[in-house]
Amino acid sequence: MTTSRALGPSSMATSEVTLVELIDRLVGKGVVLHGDITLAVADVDLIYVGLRALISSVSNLERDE
Amino acid sequence: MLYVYALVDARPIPPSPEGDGHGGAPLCVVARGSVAAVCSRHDRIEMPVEADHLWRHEHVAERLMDEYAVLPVRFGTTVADEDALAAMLDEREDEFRGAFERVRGRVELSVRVLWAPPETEPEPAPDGTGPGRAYLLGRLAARNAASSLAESIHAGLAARAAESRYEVSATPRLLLSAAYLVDRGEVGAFLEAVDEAARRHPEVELLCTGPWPAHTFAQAAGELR
Repeated sequence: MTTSRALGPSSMATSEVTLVELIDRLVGKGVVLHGDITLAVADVDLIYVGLRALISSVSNLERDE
Repeated sequence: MLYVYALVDARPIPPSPEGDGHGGAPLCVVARGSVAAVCSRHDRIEMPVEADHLWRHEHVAERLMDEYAVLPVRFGTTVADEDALAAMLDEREDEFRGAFERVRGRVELSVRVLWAPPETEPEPAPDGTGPGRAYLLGRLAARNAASSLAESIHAGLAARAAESRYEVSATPRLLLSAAYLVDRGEVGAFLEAVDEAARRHPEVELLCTGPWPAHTFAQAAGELR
């Protein structure tokens, strides 16, 4: 069901890029209802650290090809 | 409790959507006025940030996009019960209506511009500055040039979008992250413009993904973190 989304010249590592974008959108964007968010702030910070690392590693991966 | 996936335009009030929510729970709808929240019911729910859970949330929002204007709700949002959710929808109906109009018939595309550092060493400075300093200055100049380029690529793409948002990143590799709200019928032309920019500017890399539901445009600009 998971469609491949990375488009354009950087289609390598497509699923990694797509997951990074998904995480960024789902935990950082979208409507905030003033209910309970089950994520702790620390979790979100960790996600962003991971996101930067992944973007940088995806891009290194491509350059090493 | 209710786990909330997305808000949809509720004229007419949609039936319970097809498909399952988290843990196979059926989807249900809580509607107030012209806004409907698509949810699933759970006795208790823990939602670690894992790929399967994220995709489940995403797929619920995506399926709704075929029929409705959709505002994705942030991952992990739960509300105590139907009354509490209905009160939230009542209170912010005008805001949500405005957002539905903004995203209707449109999808979101993401573009990140990454710096590809120059392969060649910069020329030694002629005026006696040390080679280390010259290298750093050269690298800084190259990165600044790449940053300007990233912003001009963004401006070109933004011209093809109904709305756009971007942030410049203070990381060494990632120059700029941008999101574009694009009419469904214009997606092909937008992607061609991305490819064209990538061909013309090999000194940067472009990562483009989408189409996504309008996560980035679900709230007014001032409300984004």
